[in-house]
Amino acid sequence: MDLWESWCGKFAKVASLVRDLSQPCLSQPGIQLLSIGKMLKPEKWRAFSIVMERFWFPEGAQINYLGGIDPSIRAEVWEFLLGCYALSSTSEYRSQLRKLEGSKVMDMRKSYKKEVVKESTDGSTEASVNDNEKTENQNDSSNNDTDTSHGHRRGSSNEEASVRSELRSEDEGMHSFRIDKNADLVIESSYNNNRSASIHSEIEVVHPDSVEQLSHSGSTVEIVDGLRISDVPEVPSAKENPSRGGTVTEDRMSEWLWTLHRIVVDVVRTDTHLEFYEDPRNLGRMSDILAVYAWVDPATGYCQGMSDLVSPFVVLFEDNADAFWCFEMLIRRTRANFQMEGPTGVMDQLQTLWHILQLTDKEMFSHISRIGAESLHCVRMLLVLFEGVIFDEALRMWEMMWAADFNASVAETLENDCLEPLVIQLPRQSEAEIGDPKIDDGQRNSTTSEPTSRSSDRMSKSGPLSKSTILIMNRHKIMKEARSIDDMIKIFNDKLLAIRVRRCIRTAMKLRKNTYTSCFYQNQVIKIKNHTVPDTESNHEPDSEEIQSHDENFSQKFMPWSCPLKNDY
Amino acid sequence: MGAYRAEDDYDYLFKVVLTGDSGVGKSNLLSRFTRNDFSNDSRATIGVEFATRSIQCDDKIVKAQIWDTAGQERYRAITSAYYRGAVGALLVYDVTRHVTFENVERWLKELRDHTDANIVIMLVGNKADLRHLRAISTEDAKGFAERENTFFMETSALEALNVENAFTEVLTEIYRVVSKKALEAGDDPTTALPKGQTINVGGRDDISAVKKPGCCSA
Repeated sequence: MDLWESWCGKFAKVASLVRDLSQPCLSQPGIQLLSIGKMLKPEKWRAFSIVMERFWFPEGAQINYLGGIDPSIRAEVWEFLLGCYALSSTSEYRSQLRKLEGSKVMDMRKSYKKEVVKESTDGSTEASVNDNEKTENQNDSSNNDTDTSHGHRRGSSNEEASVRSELRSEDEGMHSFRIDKNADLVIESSYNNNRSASIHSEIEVVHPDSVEQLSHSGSTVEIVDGLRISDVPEVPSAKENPSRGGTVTEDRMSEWLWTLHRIVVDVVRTDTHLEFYEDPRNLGRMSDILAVYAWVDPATGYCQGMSDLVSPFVVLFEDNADAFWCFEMLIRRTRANFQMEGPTGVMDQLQTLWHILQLTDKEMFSHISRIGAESLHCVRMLLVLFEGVIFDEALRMWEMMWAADFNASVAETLENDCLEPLVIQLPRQSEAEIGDPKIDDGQRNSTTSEPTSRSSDRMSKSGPLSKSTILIMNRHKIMKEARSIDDMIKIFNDKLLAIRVRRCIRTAMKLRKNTYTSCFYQNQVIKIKNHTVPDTESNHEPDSEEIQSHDENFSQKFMPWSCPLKNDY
Repeated sequence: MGAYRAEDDYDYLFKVVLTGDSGVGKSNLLSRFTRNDFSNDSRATIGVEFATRSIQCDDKIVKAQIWDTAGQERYRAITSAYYRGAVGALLVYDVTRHVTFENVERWLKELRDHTDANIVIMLVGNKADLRHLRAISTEDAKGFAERENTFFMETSALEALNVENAFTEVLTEIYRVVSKKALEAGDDPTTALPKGQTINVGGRDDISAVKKPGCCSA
C-alpha cells in the first residue's frame, strides 16, 4: 500500500460522514454515489443513471465525487450537483421540467412585451420602431464611423435569426446591442430621451476587433452582427418583483439599459483567453443569460464577477436555458456576494476564512495579522470562486466544492448546522430557519427572485474552506515572501499561489471536519457561558485534546501535503 | 526617471488610488504606467488590485503605491476602504462615454468623503485615442476640473499618451506639497517619516497654493 492509499484510508476513517459506496444500494435510505478521491467516470454515472431511471431514489441520496467529474459527463452531473434536479427525480419528470422551463422563458418575454406595448406612449410597435430609427439617427450623428451597420442591421433580421442568442424562445422584437471598441452601448447617450425606442431597439455588438481597425486606420468598420443581447426578457408574473410590476418608467428603462451596458462591458473581457469566445455568438449567449438573470432578479441585477461565473456554463451547455438554470442555482448559493448594498457575503466569508485560519494555522494567522493583510485582498477569489485562475482547474474546483457541499447541505448533518455559527458575527439563525431548504423536492426551483441567502450561506461554505486551504498550502510562500500587505496583494493578484485542486478540496474537507469539531466544542462553551457571543480572541482556544493537538501539530498531523501524495493529474 | 528601481529604495511612499466607472480603462492606465503594458482584454477588476512604481522628484525617489479599484458601484463598500491614507487620486472617465463623465461628480464625492481633504486629485479623460467617438469635449472637462479644483489631463493608455505625465504630475504635486510643508516645519521629511509610511499631504492651503491647471493633450 503506498502512501497515497494509506492517506486515503486515514481520511476515510476520519471523515466518518463520508462513505464510499461505489455501488448504489437501494435498500438503504441514504443512497450515496461517492468516492473520496476518485473522479466520477462516465461508466459509473451511466450505471447510476440506469438505476435512477427505474427507481425513485429516497431523499438524502447523495452524489459526492470529491475527485471531480469526467469532463464528458460534466454538464449532466452538474445539473444534479447544483440542485437543478434532485437525484430522486425521474428522467421523464426532468424532461417535462425542461420543456416547461423553455416555454416559461418564452412566456416571460411575451407577457413582458405586452406590458411594454401597453405602457409605451405610442402604444404600438410600429411607433417604437420609428423611435428606434430616431435613436439610431442620433447615434449616427454622434458616432459617424460606426453607423455602417444600420442598414445591414435593419434588413438582416431574418438571416441572422440563426445566430441570435436566446433562451430557447422565439425572437419577436428582441433586442441586441451594438457596442464599439469600448464595449459601449452606442445608444447610451440618447437612451434617456428614447425610452420606448430603446425597449424596441436593436442594439448590435460590434466586434471588438472592428473598433481597433476603426481607431487606428479610421477605415471601414467591420460589424459583426452575431453578438446580440436579447433584451428585456420577462419576469414570471407570479414571482414578479414589485419593482418590476409597475409601469415601465423612464428611470426603470434607463436603469435597465445601463445594466445591459455593464453586462456587455464585462462580457467582452471575460475569459478572453478561451478560443470559444472568439465566436461572437458565444459572447452573445453569455450576455443573454446575464441579461435574463439581471431581469428576473432585479434586487441583484448584474454585478461584476457574474460574467466570470456564467462563463463555464456557457462553455459547457449548448442550450442557453440549461446554462441559465445552472447559473441561477450557482447564484442562489452566492447571491449574498452580489447584493446591491455591497458584497456582504464576501465580508462574511472573509471573516469565516480568517477564523478558520486562526483555528488551523496560528502561525500564519499571526503573520498575516502582523503585516495587516487580513483584509480584502482575496475578494476576487471568493467572489468568482477561483474562476480565471485556470479555467479547467476552476471547473474542477467548483464541482468538488459542490460535491462537498452537496453532502453537507442535503444530508442535514450536525456538521452542517454547526458550521453556521462559524460564520461568526452574524446574527444567529432562528430555529425556524435552521431547517435546511431541500434541493427542491425534485423540481427546479423557479422562484428565481426569492431571496435564498440562508441557503447560500450554508452552501457556499466550502468557499472559505478552500480558500483557507489555499493559504495554508502556500504557507511557506506567504510566510517567507509576504512581508507587507502589499506583498500579500501582489501574491494574490499575480496569481502566484499554487492551487492544486484535488488536494485543496480534500484538505478543505479535512478542515471542515476539524473546524466542525472545534465549533462543536465552542458551542458547548457558549452554552455554558449562557450564549456568550463568540469572541475571536478567547473562543478559538481549543477545548479538547483533539483540538489542542490539532493546533499544536496541525501541519504534521492534519495536513495531507506533509506526506507525499500521488500526483492527481 | 527613477523608474523600476529596487522596490525598497525610496524616499517617499505615496498612496494613489484610481477610481471611476467600470470600463473606463483604470487597470490599463495602471499597467501602462507601472509595466508599460496594455491589454485589450483585461478582465474586470473586482475588489482592488495594486501596483507600484518609483519616480524621481528632484533628488528624491518617490514610490507610488497605486491602488486600482473596482468600478461598479456596489463594490464601493470594499473599495472605499482603500481610499484611506491616499494622498493622490486619478479619477478616470472615458471621453467616449458621456455617462462616465456624469458620474465623475459622485466619484469625487466618494473620494472626498473617504480621504484627507488635501488629497491631490486629477480628473483623467482616458481613451483619447478614439477621437472620432469623443463625447466629452476637452473644454467641458477642463471647466469641470477648474470648478472642482482638481487637475485635469486627457490620456490614452492604448497609445501611451500622457499616462506618464498624469501620474508624474500627481506624484510631483504631492511631493511639492509634502516637501514644502516639511520645509516650513523645518523638518527633513526623509528622516522625519519612517519608510513605508504613507505621507499626509498637509493643509489645504499648501495644495491650492501650488496647484496649477494641468496640461492636456488637446
